[in-house]
Amino acid sequence: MKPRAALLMILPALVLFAVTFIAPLLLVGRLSFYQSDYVHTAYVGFQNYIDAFRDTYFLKSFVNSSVMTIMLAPLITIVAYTVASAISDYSEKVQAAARFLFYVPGLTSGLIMGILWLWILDRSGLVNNFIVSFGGEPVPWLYDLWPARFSIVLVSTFSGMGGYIILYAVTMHAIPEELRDAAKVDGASGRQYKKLIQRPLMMPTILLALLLSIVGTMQLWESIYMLTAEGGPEGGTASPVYEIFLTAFKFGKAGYAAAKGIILMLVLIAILLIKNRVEGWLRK
Amino acid sequence: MAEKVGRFFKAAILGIFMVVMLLPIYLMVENSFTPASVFLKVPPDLFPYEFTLANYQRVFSNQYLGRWALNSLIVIGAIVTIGIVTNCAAGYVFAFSNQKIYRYLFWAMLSPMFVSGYVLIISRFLVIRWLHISGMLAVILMPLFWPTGIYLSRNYFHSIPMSLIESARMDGASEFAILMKVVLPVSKPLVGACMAFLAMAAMGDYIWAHLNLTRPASKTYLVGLLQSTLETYQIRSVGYNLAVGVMLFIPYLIVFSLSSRYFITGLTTGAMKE
Repeated sequence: MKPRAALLMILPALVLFAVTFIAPLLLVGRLSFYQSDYVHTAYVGFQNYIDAFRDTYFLKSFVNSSVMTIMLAPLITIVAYTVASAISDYSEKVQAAARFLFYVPGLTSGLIMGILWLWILDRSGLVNNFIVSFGGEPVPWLYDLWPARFSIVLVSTFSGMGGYIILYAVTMHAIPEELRDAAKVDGASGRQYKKLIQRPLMMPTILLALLLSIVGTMQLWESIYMLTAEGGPEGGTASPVYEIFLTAFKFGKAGYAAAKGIILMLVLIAILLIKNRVEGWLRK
Repeated sequence: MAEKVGRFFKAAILGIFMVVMLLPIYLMVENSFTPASVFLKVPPDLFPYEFTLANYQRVFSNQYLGRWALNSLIVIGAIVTIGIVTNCAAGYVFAFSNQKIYRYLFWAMLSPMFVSGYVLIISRFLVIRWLHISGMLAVILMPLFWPTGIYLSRNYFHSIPMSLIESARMDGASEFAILMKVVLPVSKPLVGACMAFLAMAAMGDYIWAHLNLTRPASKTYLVGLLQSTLETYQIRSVGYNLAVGVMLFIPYLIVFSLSSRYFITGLTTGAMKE
């Protein structure tokens, strides 16, 4: 490929990369050293970073995400893996249909399904209506700390499950037929094949799915916006991204939000490095 | 015998699980045809027998609905066409150029996958102010660069036989012509999957579009309709809200139905060639 032709072809993507990612990233970095309310801007050095590490709500948002990841990740991993493994035993047509149907609930963002969940979980919504009609006390699903966290996790489970099922199903599908045949010839039962051959081969994908669910929980925005727009009771459902969003747009502190954004980015990169380390360690 | 029982149980559990997963969608559709009075009943009707089209009439009586749909079609059309061509052209270079610099550039270009777009919102405003663009153009511009597409297309193109490209070069075709006339036509699963992903991402862009499009007539379908439910949330208007939910869900279903056969192949071929 001639260098000139290659350059010409990559140029549009390169320009877009610079305009939509590199420039904003550099600007966020610069902004993080300023105090700014969008109108007045003043240089404050590392003050925003120092403040961020003392900001209870910001620190709490990481706790929120960790708690929600602990509630969400094992559930999704086990269920999605089991479902994918179960549908892999059926014919090609059934598999395609099953993948389609399982993916439908996760097609839209949490915004659109949020319309529905708001009604289901509201103070006088569907679930409470049932509880009351059986003589129980209504549960403030969206207004008390733990019920609110549970609600956000519930919504994430419904909208996220399909994607993870597809991820597992696709990778399982790509395991060569010969391995299964060879295992059968050697007298392995279906269950032994799944435990001794399929599961180790799927380990990298399981790790990837865990990483995606950790990173996804930290960047959760839609369902929080729809269900607990203020970041939940005591700020107990806000993800770091949502907390940064509130800082920037509700409290109008652009520079402070930028510093928090940079810290979040570093945390995400650290998580990615840890994942790579664990993967390398598992391979040994 | 034991195996048969096991099979039956597996199918039953899968079936039950599928019903549970689809229950929210069912509730949304069912109750969008339900009059307001039903939502105030205690105990609730899970299978309401009263049927009304009033909720949908309210959605369609919105004077801006057609305008919002048109705005969205323009945004989605622009993002899909420009996005596919630019990202696939980049993928083509990464797949077929052996200059070393592109190997580094490839990994650099994947880095946005690890940075939340929400964090960049504030500074993206600064960028568009510099470029003197606003409104719909800004909404189209920002999601155009799509690292996943570059990654998928580069991996997919790797699986295309080099001889195909060489012979086109012998015929004197330019590299861009090879991409458009040789490579993309044999990459239908990839293009199908990428179009679907881009279209769904463009449809789902709420916050950036919401912050950029402030006049009622300039909003997108998602922003306009979703806000109409948020302004007036109360239990009486649940039927209307759910009708909006269904209306917002339908475009996703259409795109996904059209593209689902490309979805898996488009992804696996790319993923496995690494």
